[in-house]
Amino acid sequence: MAITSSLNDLSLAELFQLIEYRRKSGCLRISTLPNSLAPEAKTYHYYIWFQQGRFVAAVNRLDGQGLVSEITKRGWLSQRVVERLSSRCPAKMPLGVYFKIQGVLQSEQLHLLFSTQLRQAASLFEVQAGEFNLDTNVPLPWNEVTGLSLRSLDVALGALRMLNNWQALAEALPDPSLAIQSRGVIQQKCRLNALDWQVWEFAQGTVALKNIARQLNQSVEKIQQAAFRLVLAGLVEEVPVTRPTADQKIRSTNLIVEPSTLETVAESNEVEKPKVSASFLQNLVSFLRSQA
Amino acid sequence: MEVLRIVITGAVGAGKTTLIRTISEIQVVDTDRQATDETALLKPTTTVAFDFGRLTFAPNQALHLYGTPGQARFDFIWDILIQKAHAYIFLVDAHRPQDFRSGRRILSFMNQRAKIPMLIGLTHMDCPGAWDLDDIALALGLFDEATRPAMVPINPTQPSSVSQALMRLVQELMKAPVLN
Repeated sequence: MAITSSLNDLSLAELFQLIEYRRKSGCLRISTLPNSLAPEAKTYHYYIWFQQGRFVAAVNRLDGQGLVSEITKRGWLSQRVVERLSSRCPAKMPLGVYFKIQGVLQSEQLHLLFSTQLRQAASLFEVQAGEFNLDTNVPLPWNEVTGLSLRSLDVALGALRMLNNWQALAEALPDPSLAIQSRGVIQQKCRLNALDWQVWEFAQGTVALKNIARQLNQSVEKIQQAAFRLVLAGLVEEVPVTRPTADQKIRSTNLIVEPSTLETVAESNEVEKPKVSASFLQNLVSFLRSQA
Repeated sequence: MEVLRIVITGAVGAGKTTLIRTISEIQVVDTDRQATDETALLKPTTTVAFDFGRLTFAPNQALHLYGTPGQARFDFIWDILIQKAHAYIFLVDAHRPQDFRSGRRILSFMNQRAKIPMLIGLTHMDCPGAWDLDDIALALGLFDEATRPAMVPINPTQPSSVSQALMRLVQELMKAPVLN
């Protein structure tokens, strides 16, 4: 099955999250489009490959020569040797692994090649206008695979940490008037930086991001970006601000904010609503069943 | 009169007004106005306050349906409606991934404001480009399959489909402690 849309609708970071959580295998094609800043720009295609939710390769061509061209460009092997060895590589074995078994490439060299692919994928996080197509029905191009892989979420979080231009993600960032709330149990290890952890300390849903920025003496944009990384990592969700409970105040005195500083405060008053009887619901079910 | 209040919510164009019109016994009291922002690209009018429909199924027993506006600038109306609701249906258009992000924010808002039974209705599942159920769940921020709400395909234009979804919601409600 393939899903297609615009990167304005779903950012690359959110796509990587989807791929990780759904353990998808296949190819994510990114096509850049001309935009307001570069109206004459050409369309370029990039291909990112995943296996069981993990990033395994990224190339900008479909002829299966991306990895070998990197190897020959660096002068590690001649074109003749690469061609001879490639033709002997067993089916469904990563070419990088085969070269290592043959003793013509070392682990460090494979890591370098993999890092190059990672950098190429990371650069796509800045694409301002583009479309994506995620096709889970295509086989892995073993010629492009080093044999190394990385959790897609780690690739996305790493790319976001290096990102200079966040324009492409402007719509995806949590609104400054919202707060973040912990999702509870953390099931997977996540690589977070110091600011991410500082923002995480506010994940009680009681402080708006703009007020977190004030308390941490950071720009609102930086806090939005950190909150986005936490959302992406599945650690928190963005929520409207609520009044802190007494328990939260005791546990974390540094999070106390005066109610007057809160922009939107959910009232804790439960609206009294009339209860409905079991017989009422039974009648309704019977009625609906007759209509269904 | 014993009344059950159900809110129908979701992003712009998800099918909220259509669903209420399909099942209501009265002319739906709607507050649709000409769309003036990006919503106009999607449909000529949009709900600015709320829709109201009614279904009387027994003497002195009725279902009241309230449709929320889809746009976030009307979130004060979401708040008013959800606080008084017994349950709600969150509609998602499965072939409009551009709405998943705003849908996630609506869902988060509703969940935080009211802990009441709900289900997610997936519209346009038969359209080209429709995402599958599990992908939509993730796009809505529902990571845990075991704890996420029920998700059912629904055609807001078909009375039988709407009745089935409502029946499923009422069954969820029967598990919840709101009974006399």
